[in-house]
Amino acid sequence: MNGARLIVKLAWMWLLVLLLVTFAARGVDFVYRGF
Amino acid sequence: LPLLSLQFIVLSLATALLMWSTRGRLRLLVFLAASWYYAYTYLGLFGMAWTVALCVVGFGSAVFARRYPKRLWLAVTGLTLAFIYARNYSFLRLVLPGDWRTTLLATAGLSFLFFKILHVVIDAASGTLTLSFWRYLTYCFNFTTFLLGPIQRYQSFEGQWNGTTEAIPATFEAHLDAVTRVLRGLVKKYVVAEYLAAYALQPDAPVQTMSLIDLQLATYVFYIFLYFDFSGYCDIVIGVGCLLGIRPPENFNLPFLSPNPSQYWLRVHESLTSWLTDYVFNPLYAAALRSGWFGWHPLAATALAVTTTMLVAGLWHGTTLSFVLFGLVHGVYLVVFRSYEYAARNFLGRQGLRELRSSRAWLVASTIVTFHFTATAYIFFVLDFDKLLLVLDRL
Repeated sequence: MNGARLIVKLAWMWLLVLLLVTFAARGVDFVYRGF
Repeated sequence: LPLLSLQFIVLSLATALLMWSTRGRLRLLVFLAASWYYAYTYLGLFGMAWTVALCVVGFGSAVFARRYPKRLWLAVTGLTLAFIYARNYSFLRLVLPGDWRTTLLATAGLSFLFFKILHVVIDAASGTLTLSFWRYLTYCFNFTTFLLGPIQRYQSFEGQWNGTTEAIPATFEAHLDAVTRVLRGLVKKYVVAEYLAAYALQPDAPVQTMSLIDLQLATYVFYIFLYFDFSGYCDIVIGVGCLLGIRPPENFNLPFLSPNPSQYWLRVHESLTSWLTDYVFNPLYAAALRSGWFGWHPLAATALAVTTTMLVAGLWHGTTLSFVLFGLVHGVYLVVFRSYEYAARNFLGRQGLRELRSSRAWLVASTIVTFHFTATAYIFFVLDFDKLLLVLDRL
């Protein structure tokens, strides 16, 4: 894996973490009825 | 134990580290202990005891089926009856007195476990797997797939456990991708799905007062919500599985893009579809073709096999009449689609049908129609029978 590819991947991970930290709703886990 | 919790992250990472650094029985013990802890958080002590007992009975049934393959039907019937009783299907009230029934045994993950056990028993009878008790127990409780799948096959689990097949390449990039997949799943489930949930059709929706357009839109949103929730969940557990070295099978492939109901079932909950194809559709279809009348009418044989398979799919998803209707509606979709294909092939010829399918306008139109019908069927998934009657009344 070259440096540019690694940086893109890390940036994408960072964006996902930011999205999670900012928007994740900590509701009850949706458990499918009767499963 | 929610997937977006410190405990789950610690459990996954600690198990991965311990599994990387151990071998043989110790590695099995680590995975089983982590899986039992995870299952315990959902089941409690009684649920654990019952679930372990079920797995042991399943193992006994597999040994029995391997020894007496011709008596496989006995093992399958016994396990199926036990499952029907444990899940407390609503139709049981017609055959069993109230005090004979119980809700105590309908534990989390039971449907997935039942299909995994049944697969082991059937494959043991056909001699396509070798059984080891502790590995089988770990397969049953594997914490990445215990609660909501994907339904992994025993051969796939064992192959990866033995190192015959690799979960992911042993590179830094592959492991980074696995972590990214977990994060992507968390965003899909806890950001996108959570926000869609507010607009999705709910079991207590005021179906008498809301407009029919709102009802239709809410059903569309439910489909999209369910996709993000369930495929997000699958991304998380597949990512964790990759890190552990036991990768669960893929489960979703953009079902919204399906141009027909048959494709839809190949793109949504794939591991369930493949299970149903192998253990319900194929044997039924083969048996129907061998029988007199159906042997001469393959389209009727397909219709019978596909409708029964979808009824099983419906009943597997839930215990009430609504789920029977959910399965039946999908059965009708597939029969209509197969009949249309048959008629179109006769009318246009093979080449003509291929050209029609490959035209862009046809592809867009059929994808929209498939989206509409498959999304609308989720109304049976959400509303109970009385509410469905109210909707029917308004139509």
